[in-house]
Amino acid sequence: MNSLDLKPQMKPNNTVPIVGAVMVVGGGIAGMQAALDLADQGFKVYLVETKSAIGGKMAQLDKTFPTNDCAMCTISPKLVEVGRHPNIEVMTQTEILDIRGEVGDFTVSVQHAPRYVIADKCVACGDCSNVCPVIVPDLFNQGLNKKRAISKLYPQAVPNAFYIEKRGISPCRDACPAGQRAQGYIALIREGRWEDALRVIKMDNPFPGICGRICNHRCEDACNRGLVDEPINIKALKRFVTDKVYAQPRKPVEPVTPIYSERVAIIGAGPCGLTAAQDLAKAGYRVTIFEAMPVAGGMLRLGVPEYRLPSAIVDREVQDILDLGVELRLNTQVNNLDDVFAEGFDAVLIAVGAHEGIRLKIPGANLEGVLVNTHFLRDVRLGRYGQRTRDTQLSAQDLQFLGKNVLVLGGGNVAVDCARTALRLGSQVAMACLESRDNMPAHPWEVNAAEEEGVQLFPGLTFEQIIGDEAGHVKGVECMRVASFSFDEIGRLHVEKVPDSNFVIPCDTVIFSVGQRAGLAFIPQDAGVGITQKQTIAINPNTMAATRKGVFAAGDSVSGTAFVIEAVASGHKAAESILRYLQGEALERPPKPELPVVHLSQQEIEDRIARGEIHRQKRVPIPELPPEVRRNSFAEVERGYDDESAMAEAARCLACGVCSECMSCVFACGANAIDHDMAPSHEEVHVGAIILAPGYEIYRAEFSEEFGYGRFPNVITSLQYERILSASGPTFGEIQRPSDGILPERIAFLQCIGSRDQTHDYCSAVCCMYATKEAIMTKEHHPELDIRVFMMDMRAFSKGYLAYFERAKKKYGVDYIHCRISSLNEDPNTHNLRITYFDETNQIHTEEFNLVVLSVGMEISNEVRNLGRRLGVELDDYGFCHTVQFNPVETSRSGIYAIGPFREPKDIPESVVEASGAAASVAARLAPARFQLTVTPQFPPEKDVSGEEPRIGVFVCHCGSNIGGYLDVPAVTEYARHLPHVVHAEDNLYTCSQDSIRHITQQIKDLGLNRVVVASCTPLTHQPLFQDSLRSAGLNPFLFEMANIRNQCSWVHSHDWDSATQKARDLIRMAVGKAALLEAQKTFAVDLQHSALVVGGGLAGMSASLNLADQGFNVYLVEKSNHLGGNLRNVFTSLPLEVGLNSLVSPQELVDYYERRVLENPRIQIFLNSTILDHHGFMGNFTTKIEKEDGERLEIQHGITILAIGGEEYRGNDYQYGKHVGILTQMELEDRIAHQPELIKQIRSIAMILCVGPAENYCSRICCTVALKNALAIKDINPNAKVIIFYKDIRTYGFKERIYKTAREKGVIFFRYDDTCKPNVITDTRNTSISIQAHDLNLGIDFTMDFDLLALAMPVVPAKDAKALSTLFKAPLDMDGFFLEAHVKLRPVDVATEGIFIAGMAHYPKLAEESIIQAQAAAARAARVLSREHLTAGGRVAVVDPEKCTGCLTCVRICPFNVPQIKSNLLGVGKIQGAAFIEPSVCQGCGTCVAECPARAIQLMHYTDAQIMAKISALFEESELILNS
Amino acid sequence: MEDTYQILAFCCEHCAYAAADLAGGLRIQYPPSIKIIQIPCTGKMDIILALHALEEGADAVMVAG
Repeated sequence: MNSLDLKPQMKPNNTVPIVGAVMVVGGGIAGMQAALDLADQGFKVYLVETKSAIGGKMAQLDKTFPTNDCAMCTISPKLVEVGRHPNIEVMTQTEILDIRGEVGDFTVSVQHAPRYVIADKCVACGDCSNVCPVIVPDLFNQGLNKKRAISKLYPQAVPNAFYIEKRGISPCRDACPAGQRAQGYIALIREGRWEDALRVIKMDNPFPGICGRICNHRCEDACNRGLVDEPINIKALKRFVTDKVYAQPRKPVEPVTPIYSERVAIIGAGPCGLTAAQDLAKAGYRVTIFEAMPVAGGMLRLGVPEYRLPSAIVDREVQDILDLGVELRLNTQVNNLDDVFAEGFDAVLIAVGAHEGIRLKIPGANLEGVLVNTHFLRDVRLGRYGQRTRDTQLSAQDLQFLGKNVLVLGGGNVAVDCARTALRLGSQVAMACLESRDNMPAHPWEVNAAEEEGVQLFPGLTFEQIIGDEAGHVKGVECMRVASFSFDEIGRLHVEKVPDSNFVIPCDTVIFSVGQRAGLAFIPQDAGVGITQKQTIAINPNTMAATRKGVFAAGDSVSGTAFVIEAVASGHKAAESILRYLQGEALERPPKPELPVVHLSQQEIEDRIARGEIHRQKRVPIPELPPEVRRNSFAEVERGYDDESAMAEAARCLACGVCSECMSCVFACGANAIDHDMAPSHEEVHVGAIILAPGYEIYRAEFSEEFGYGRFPNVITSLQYERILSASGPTFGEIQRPSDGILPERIAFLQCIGSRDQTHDYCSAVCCMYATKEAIMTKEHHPELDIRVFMMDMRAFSKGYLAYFERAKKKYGVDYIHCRISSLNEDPNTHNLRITYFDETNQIHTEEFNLVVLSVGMEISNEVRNLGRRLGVELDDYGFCHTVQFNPVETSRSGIYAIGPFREPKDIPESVVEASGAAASVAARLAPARFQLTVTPQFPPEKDVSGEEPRIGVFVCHCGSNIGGYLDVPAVTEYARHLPHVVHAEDNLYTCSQDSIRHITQQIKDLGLNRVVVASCTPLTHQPLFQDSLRSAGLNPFLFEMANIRNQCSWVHSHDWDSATQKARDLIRMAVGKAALLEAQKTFAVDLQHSALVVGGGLAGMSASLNLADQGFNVYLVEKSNHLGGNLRNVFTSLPLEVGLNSLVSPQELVDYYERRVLENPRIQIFLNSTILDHHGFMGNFTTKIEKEDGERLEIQHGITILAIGGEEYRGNDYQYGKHVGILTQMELEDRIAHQPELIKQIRSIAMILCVGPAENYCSRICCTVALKNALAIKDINPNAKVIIFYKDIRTYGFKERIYKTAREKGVIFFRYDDTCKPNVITDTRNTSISIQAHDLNLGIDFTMDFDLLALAMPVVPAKDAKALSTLFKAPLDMDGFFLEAHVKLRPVDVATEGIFIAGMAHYPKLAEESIIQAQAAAARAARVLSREHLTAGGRVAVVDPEKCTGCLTCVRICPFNVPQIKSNLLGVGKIQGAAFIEPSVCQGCGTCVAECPARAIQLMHYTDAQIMAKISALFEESELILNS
Repeated sequence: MEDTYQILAFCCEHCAYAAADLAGGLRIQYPPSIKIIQIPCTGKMDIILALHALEEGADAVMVAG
């Protein structure tokens, strides 16, 4: 594909509608910039981000190079701007699924992952996070510290809302039939929050004390901790916390007042019936439970022995349910189901359990002394048996005693209960069962306990008959041994017995424990309720509905015997169905999206252990009563944990699901913003174009095992080190190494980790500089530290980078060593790292460091690769996006653009430039649809309050507990009410909630307020929001003042209630003091010229002109020479890179093509051979005087100016240049290669010297690449030619590294030199050869070589007229003479003077592709201005009172934005002509001129001297106020 | 320094004021006698304002930006 064909900007087919919206994918700095540039020029933008907040990697950085600006301070205003922009819709936690359609009209299908917090309601108070018990690694801090499962990505996150991290359902919860949130209550136990833990348990299970004792805890079998050592002892923890709370006086349960008239009858007061009763009562229904027995609790009370489950626990938990208002009728046998309906119940739940024991039909089964399990256990629990040892002497008539020799038939848990109970009644006990010892159905720990207590086991037997004595009383059981047994498909037992193995086990009592079933006699045949063959009630298992309408059944009576927790689950399910039935809904519950179950892999476990997140530690044992004590007592066998053991055990939990849904946050959130039931949602979005800015991920250093990352705690990544350096990071900016938190004395930086290695043939372009920055920042903190940087080349290739690097070396003493290290080992005792390396003189060294920082490179994540594939854009093998070489930000799919490191590794300013460049390309395509979908907020007309007495309203915020928890908000509010001019004061829970915002508007109207003070968080994030409520009430937004009583008061004085309260009073008094003097500030519209001046007709100038013309703006293109094309006219070969789809276009074709398009474009007016004489005016309305070739002078009016005057190749006499015909510049060499290849064929050798002349002071960025390009071209023409390059550092950044690699492969020879041993060129006019004396650093020897040619890499230097134009356009130059951008990182094409932009080599040396992008970026920035209907002026601007002005020029000189001018038509002091004027449409409102003006003739609106002084005075006025009140 | 000294800090809204907000977010404690006044830029800081503060009773004035 040829890019020339791609260039026409609009599709000729006008029938395709153009959508005036753009989707930007990726919320990092590049995505944010693209979004802002587009939204500002009239396009609706959807900014899509997969994380919960925008900000990307830049938000994680500490400082930025080369200015050492704080990254967060720089990006934070942009974050706020994006977040508040009316035409940017930020879609967080959103993935692109698919894109259909074509440029101009795409349909993007997106999926939003649930945040679980309603962002619009969340006020970011953080109360939720304070109570969240789940601790997870903080990935924003690169896992260096922990955070809570509900959190913000980082403090300044936009959107300013919390989110909940959910990975899935923890296996413990999944395994539990009732879905107990075990992970949740375990986490709360770890924090010592017993009541909260019990609350979590009770949400799913009304019987925590019971289940804490007798549950079969399948949760523990599923627990992932088992993969580490042993599962968490969940059952014991549950019991512990119940005991803990129950030991406190019982808090009364609030009864629920029924809200419905319908009544529900529940038959059976067992765990199932009680659970359902609880749910129905809580839902507002009236519930009656019918219980045949004299006590409630069912099997819990009558089936489970006291020694396992004390009655008191059952009674307490039953009472908690009854107290809700449930009616319980004890001793009430339901004899017929119809009776219940006859009594007026609307629904019936049958939950009668399975209380009928089964007697095997064998001879002797009805002899005297033969009992069945359920009746036996029930009689014991009802106190009908005496304990032989203790009660033998008692003569209570109704007390009976069990036989002396008891044989329990059966091997299940109930059989064990019977055996152990019988033992406690004083009998000798044996158990016989069909199964072998190892296959008994009872839990092994139950069988063991029974054996320990003295129960004799007879496993593997059949019971042939029970033998009676003459009196008809049991005397033994005849058994046979079992050879094998099996069940057939309908559940019938088949046993193979050992022949002739009959024997008799003597006993006087037999207890059958071979199963039990429900007693269903009360359901007559004609009741309409079906019964199954197994004597259970037939139900629909999804709804628990029986075959008769209004009848439901649950628990053991439908399932057969099961565990308590199943009865609970069944009860919940039945209750839910009954609710649906009573409310007339379909019984089947609609399907609910469920999270996956989290099964940790062994690999993940090992990784987490390696990272130190998990420490191997077996479960904390539970104390038990010794067997000799428990044998004679019904006292509980198992004892509970103490506090310390419980917390230690709880701390072992791996928090598999991350959020455990413990609901603590829901209870804590005063704004009702949390919704745990949120589900993923899909959306189709229509846009005209898409910009992909998904960013990079850092190389996963654990893959380079030799550096020990992940194994050695003190080997960290550079991003981790950024977080350590950051004041808001895990160590608050203190430099501490991970192993022991101690300040490392020696730090090594290892460069090129995941770059320029065997698996990466590219350079990541940023690592050299960020390592240097990190080294400098470290030295700034601690100058005494010893820092080594091990690197291959120092790639300080961009503006200001080389000086920065030199500063690191010379000023800060950072030590750089050119090498890759040989090995890295750890001293396991000190965790110090030993590094072995060869220096440049081949000496071997081993040195010890306390900390090693790996400078990790950039990679494209799998997610982004998959995204690229889904969208059908071409990627390279590394996942980087292919773009068209000379249309550099467009992907292979028309209308989809790629920017930032997704195209090629790059730093922040280049990403920002690409963002703006892509915005320009998009704007050119979608220009007809500008302002089609954008909105402008509408407000009522403003009232004039200027003549009114101040009527101030004060609104004081509690911010949940963030302010109210640390100072006395009501008292402060009361105080505010009595301040001067205050007519109203109130406090609000959240002043920024949507309700409160509306409320403030209403209060302004109702109370006639004309000034408003809000005392809450910070104006930096919230002022515009509150100002909108003023505007909605018709008040000017400047009549507003904030008192920062949270960030600068309650949070920073959180241990001093009284002082914080006093300070809040002070701050509010100060705000009120200023508010009384506030004045409305008018803004007004200023007309502007919708045309541009572009100075310079090179590639950059032509690109910028074309883009602006394509966007529909008229352009004046002024070129001083007689042709267009600039330096590109001297470039003949493209870079030998397979970077794009198009390597067919040669530079000359490209420049011709651009020239043709410029010439053809009717919107571009070209002035060749023309010079600029004068330039004045301000953004929107500039006037420039031009002198044309023919001497004609004309004035043009334009709204903006783009300076694209280019640069030129240095031509100094360094290295004998000019003294020998064989000494060329690289540009001259390129010309020879292109036009005289035969000469190149003849040469035997050529030398190149890099970093010539001025390039010793600044890196000219492109020379290495150009030299290597030419070297390869020579090798292509003449493979035998010897090519030797003398260099300091090879700076082939990004993919240009591949040229370096190819050059080395093709035999180009590289000699490094440094400032101490520069090559020396010797020419002899008689001889054609050129001699170079040089020093080999490796061998330590000097040598001399002869060459046919020498090519000097002459740097690009500023254009000659740069200085003159700088003065004319008030566009300052940097130290090296290039134009200086307004901000190195974030405003790289803007000049500090508003309305002036720079592009191309006028800014800094760059390659053709880079110039095109930068020119487009300048066009985008210009279009932000030109696309506006008018400019807005006024507000917070400086205003000169000309009558005080002496015209001294102080303001003119001091203004960093070059705004003030002395106007001759204004009269100053003494009516003398000439006074300063500050154009309000371009004034930045910094107030510098105000402070400097010696005549005090300037005031900054909204910050007048009077206003600030009033604020100051108010601080010290308290005593007067008190006296006056 | 005594905690009761009244210190008035004039902070640039772009950096120092934002940093003070962040200090709050990180719950870094400092004496309550320090009060912060937001200004648009430290360039706006005027000696008159500092003198006025001292005159009114401030023990110290700090300019941060």
